[in-house]
Amino acid sequence: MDTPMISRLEQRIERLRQQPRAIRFAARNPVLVAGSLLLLGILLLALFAPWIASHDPTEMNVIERLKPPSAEFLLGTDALGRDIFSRTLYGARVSLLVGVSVALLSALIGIFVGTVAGFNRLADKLIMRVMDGMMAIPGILLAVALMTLIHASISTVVIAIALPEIPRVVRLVRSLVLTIREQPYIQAAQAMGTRFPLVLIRHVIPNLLTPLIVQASFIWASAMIFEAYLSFLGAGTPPEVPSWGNMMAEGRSVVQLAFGIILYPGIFLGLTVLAVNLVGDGLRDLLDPRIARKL
Amino acid sequence: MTTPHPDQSPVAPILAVEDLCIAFVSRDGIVRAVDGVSWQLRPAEMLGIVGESGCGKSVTAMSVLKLLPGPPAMYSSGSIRFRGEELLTASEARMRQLRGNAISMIFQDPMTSLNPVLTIGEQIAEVLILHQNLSKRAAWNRAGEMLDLVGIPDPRQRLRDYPHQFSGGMRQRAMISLALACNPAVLIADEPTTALDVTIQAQIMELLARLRREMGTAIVLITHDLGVVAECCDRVVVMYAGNKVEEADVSALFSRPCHPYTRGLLAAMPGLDVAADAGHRRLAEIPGMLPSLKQAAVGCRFAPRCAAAQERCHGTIPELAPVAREAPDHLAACFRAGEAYRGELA
Amino acid sequence: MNRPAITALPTTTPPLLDVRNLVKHYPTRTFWRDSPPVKAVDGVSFSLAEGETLGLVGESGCGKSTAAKTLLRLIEPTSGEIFFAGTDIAKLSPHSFRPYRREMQIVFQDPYASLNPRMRARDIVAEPLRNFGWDNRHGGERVADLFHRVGLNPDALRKYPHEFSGGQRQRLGIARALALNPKLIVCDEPVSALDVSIQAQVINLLEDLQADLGLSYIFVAHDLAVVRHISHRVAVMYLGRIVEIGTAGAIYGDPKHPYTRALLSAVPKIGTNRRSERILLKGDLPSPANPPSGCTFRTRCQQARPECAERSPQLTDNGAQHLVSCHFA
Repeated sequence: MDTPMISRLEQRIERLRQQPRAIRFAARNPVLVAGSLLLLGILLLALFAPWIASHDPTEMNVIERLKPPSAEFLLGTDALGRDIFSRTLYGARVSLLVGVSVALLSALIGIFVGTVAGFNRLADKLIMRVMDGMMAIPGILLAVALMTLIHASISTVVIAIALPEIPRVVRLVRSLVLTIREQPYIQAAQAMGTRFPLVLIRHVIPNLLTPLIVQASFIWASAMIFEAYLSFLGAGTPPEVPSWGNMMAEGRSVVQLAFGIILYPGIFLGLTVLAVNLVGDGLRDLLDPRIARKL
Repeated sequence: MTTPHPDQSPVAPILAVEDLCIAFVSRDGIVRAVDGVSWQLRPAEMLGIVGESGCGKSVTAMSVLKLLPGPPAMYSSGSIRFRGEELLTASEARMRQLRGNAISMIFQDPMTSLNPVLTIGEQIAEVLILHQNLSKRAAWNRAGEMLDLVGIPDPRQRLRDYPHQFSGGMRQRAMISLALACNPAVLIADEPTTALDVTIQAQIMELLARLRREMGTAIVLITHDLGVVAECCDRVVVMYAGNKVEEADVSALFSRPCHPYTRGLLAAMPGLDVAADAGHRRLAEIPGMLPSLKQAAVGCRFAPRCAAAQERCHGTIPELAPVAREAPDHLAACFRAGEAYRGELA
Repeated sequence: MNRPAITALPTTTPPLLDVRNLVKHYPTRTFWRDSPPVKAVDGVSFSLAEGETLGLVGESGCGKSTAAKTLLRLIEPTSGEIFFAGTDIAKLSPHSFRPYRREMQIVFQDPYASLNPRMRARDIVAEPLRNFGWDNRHGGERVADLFHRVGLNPDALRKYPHEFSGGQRQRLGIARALALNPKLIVCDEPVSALDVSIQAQVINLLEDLQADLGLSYIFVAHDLAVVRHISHRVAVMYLGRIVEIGTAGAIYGDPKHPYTRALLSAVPKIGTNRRSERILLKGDLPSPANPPSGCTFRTRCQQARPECAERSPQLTDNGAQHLVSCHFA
């Protein structure tokens, strides 16, 4: 026997229930779905760049320099007559590659170092002091120094961006491990005679993955911005690589003549970072049961 | 029995909850946490609300002060009247005037209502300054008296302590003194002793009983512990799955429990007083578990777990009714309560 | 159903477990100096026969849980001897102790927190089997068997802990503890997180298992009625020490120690109006880092006399294996 108000609500929920699962999921996690769709679109553009692009991204054509958008050059050309549309597509490849690599690298190192620190007191003291030291180094200076010491390449950029991120991941993993190791299920595993390495693999690491994945998605987004910074400053990806940062750096001198050279890669960078951040936020909400599910 | 017949009852209830329905609404469905519950609290009375987790007892308590967060909680019908004033439709400003002043609440975990960065004295004085317009000095003096009243040694000194400097039992006392600072007419105690050891529990229950005697506070005691209810309360409401299944005077309820759920609970409790040589009694189990509250009830909520259930129990919701003509204020929501009362039910 | 009552221990067979002078001290340090250690367990001795249940009661902070976990070396003892079937397992290296894990298991208080939320029910129960070399096929059969034994449906095998109710989770914890066919199970507050009706189900299950498998239990709880119900013998702890130990009938029917009496009188009772007899203890538990001199209970004891502060009472037998640690018992 329900009150009229409850009956009406029950009918509404029943209608919601009858919708296809995908729609229900999207209605429940709009941020995650919007971010994923946007990111998927950008990924596809990057993946199929050779087929979508109208020109070779490095092909120079001095006669066609600084052209406004046209049928041939969808977004116009830059100071060397290269097609901005094609270069932007290829730029997505660089940006995403750097972002994902930095996220993976720092997460993997973070899990390893952070778990060691969380379980061994002596190692903890040593590791945390090293991490404090690493955190004291300004990221940009470190990157510039690395670039001048080692020759510029995408992997150098990845290392340069990942290094300052590592202490943050290590701290996160360490604090998670310190919480998890006090959980009764760890003591239960000990009581059942589970050997220590298996305790790590079965019980500790699976339980720290969720927050780590969320953190990694944010590192991914910030790594893409950082890559653009570095390239813009001339300390990032080598100038011949069509990255968004390089494009914007090159467009700086001719910004009054052809604003598009900075605008279009900028828009793409913004959209990609937004997409990754939305996915990160969405994942956090989806995986965190503490955030109440509202109607 | 010496209790007056309800029809002749001279005292109007100070707090009356009537046909209260509270639902928690989410995309996954509607949980009918409280489904048509009524009870009355008379001045200086101690009313026990007992039941197991998920029965809706705490939700009922929180609802009196409207402390349940807007969505997902929804009051779908009913009324809560305090001295005749409807609270369900009262403004938030009016509720703030009442909370901690005319109606107070204490919780299982004292730290939920004590602020860790303020001293105990500051917190009690703040309430007094806010609700009673006392001067700072007068409020501080009164705060000291309050700590003394709840039996904290060295009250003037302890006013300057922070909550973490108190032990668990003392924090509970401090919270009680905070709740009672404005001399409320009604105190709602939600599992006040669940986190405490038995010896400390005994101290706290003794304290509540004394405060009721001395200050005339009416108390709603919400607990899962039938023993605590048996020792302290005047009347008991037993809840199961959002429903009130039985209500009676404390002596009547424990000497002649009529609802199968109440009977099951009592039989499931191991006792202290089993004589050593009486042989070993196997505890009576209530089989199964709590039903999902996402579906509207079509029959008695307890029927699937009930040994005395008949066919009608699954299809018709039993009304709350007196168990016998000679026991008009012993209510039970069971078709067979009369049989149970007469001792005809196994 | 009745189970065989073990009233007095047969003295001829050696006990399954014999604990002598068990001590667990936690060192504490403040900024500038070492402070005295927290004496969580301070010289506890008892024994346990095969098929027997020993209840360990006391208030929070009395060291009952620590003592129980020290038996399994989940907490390393500071000193003392733990003889399990004749071997002092307290002195064994971790490597030589490992086989004893099959013999002694534990059921935890919080059934949810003690189950890894990322593992399926069947993997949780299979974990001890895998640790001790069962292959998948036999292990699978054993797990299905255990599920049946503790009253869980076979369709629960694939579920995750959060999909179970509190009572079912505790059944899962019990199945895991049973997996290796242990002789001793330490039950650390196994029913205190459960509702009364579910609590009865779990207690009955534990009793059935004991009757069928001849298990011995160390049953740690703060609920005196539950301990009374399930235990053959009961030990009452206060500030890291056993103050009274004896058969359940003796402890509950004829408590000798003032603390036991106060504890029993504080339990709310149904039906009898015994409010007048209540012994209200004054104040709170003293700090286990700085316990009172002499008898540790004297600060809250109504019968305390000057000599209680000077001499520390020993557990002495008052006959019929009822031991009390009080000068005036």
